[in-house]
Amino acid sequence: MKYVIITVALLLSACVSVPVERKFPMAPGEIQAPCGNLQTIDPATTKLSAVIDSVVTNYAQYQECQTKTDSWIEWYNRQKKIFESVK
Amino acid sequence: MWIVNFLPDFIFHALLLVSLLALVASFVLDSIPFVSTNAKAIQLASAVVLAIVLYFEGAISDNDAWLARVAALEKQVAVAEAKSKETNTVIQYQYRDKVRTIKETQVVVQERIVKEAAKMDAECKVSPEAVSILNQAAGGKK
Repeated sequence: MKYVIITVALLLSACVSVPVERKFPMAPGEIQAPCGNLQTIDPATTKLSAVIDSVVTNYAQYQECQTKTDSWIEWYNRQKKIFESVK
Repeated sequence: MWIVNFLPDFIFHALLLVSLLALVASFVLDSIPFVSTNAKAIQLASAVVLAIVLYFEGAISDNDAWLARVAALEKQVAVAEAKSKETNTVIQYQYRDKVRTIKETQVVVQERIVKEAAKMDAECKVSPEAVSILNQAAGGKK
């Protein structure tokens, strides 16, 4: 029995813990905000200018969202490259 | 390796030296009375201690190698974290820059709409059906 205890103690002495901790990178807060809903037109309006104004606002919103998505893609690709550089 | 971290390295080095000397002495120093009478026991004890100490010497060396690897990895992780932060800053600036351009363009276009509104509204009246279709498309609902 005592030999078993000694052997187990010797084997356990080889146990190691992994001390290197890696944190998941945080993305910039601005690109984490969700895209808003598209603007609708007042149903009572008959003015073309009001319709165009709404369409322009929606185009701008789409472009902003597109920029956000592109930023996410770029962020992911760059962070992946950095992550993989640690070996 | 907790036992190696718990005990200082010199203990293992000293035990290695002592067990080696004892082993050699048990073979060489026959003229000394105590050694000659207990030669077998000294040989056995020193061989056992030598084997255990050799195991721990190997463990110390292995532990040192792992510690060096951990230190190198920690350095790499620190560099990667700094690069990651730098990347975030670059992406943030690029995003802000692009959004600013979009907003500025929107302002310019809306100013044009205001300028041309009277002409557009005089020439064209939008039917409620057209507005309804656009609203349905914007809402993304059937």
